[in-house]
Amino acid sequence: MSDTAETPQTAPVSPWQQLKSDTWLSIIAVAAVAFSHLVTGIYGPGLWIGLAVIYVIVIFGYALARFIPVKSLPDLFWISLVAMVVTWPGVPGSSMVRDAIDGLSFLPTITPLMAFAALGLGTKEVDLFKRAGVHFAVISLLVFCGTFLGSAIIANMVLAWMGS
Amino acid sequence: MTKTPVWIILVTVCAAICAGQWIGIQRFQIGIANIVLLPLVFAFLAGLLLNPAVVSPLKKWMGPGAGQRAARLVAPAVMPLIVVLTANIGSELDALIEAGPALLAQEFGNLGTMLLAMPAAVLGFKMGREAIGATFSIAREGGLAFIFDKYGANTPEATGVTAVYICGTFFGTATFAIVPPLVASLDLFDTRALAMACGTGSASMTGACATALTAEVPEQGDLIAALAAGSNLMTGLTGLFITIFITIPLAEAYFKVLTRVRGKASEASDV
Repeated sequence: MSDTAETPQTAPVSPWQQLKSDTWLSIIAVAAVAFSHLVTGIYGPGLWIGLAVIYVIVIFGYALARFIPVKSLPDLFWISLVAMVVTWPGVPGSSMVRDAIDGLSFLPTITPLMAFAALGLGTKEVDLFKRAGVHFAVISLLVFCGTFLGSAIIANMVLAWMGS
Repeated sequence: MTKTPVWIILVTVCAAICAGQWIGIQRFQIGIANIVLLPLVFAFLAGLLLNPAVVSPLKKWMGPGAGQRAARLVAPAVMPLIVVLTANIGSELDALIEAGPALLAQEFGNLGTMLLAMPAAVLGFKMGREAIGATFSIAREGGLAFIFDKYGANTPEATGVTAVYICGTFFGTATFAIVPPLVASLDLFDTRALAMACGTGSASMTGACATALTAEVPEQGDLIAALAAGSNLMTGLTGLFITIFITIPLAEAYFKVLTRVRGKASEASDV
């Protein structure tokens, strides 16, 4: 998604350095999520508590990802894992964590992501997109609809078959 | 060359967010299908209009390397969404277990990508082996790496997967924000089935899809989030195995059949 592939390889960074950059980037990302809620009209204390809890979960997940270097597992896996464990019923404090996270809503949480993604497109991507042409745009649309419909049809059949 | 200061990125992103939230949710009807356009679609369009790589006069204000700095923020911006989605899995566990067989089976629905798209690529657009790379998956980072590893970087398969990857970057998430509510409005599917279908292995697509469905069926929001996040995790865990042992062999066979059909059709038309 970025032009980073073109930048020359620098010396390997230590997990601590990586984590430091993760914490900074996450602050900016969370600030954008906060802003997005504010313009939607959500600004109570619940929002700030929710953001703080989510930030802590994200950083904890990043820390696991940096210090348990299993190459095939993306950062996303570790952050999902932490989020799942701390909200699991029966885990001490899980209901409080869940309530805190409920201070955020879906829509304003996803909007900043799209803004970053749109700004993050470089000249290389724009050129590639133009060159890919209408053919590949149509194919891509079919690909995305195909996976959604394929999964929905199978899931629907199995649900109906189980009679639930 | 000084780098773009991070506050300029943040201000620009906030402007795009404002545009998105200000336009809000737009709904209209075409026949029996509902089209729902979420703020995230408008924020993306606004972001494109503010992107110096798209609108070059903006380069003066943004400075060089703005795109690169913004791109580094995409992954951290996905994470809060992932936390919000997965936070529902534990409390909705009973519903997830109840839907377990469906949840497992629908992983094979990802084969729908090539079922639907490869005939269009081979028969419609007369593509060669690009069609395999282009249609075997939704071509996110993992798929890209897999094709480059298996077929090599300078192959038609790699061209195909790269093209769909790029297209996905431009309108993949938007597609997953628009198509699910449209399908839901047809009233043919169990909402749970649609929620499971949201789990694609791409966090932003899954998030957009779950968000769009929740906007339509707000009372089932927690369940939708849990099923989508569960299905997404499952795709992450099983995806590679399904790709290696099922998808790629099937794609190769399907491609052979389709090119043979195309060959026969052109023979027939030559006579």
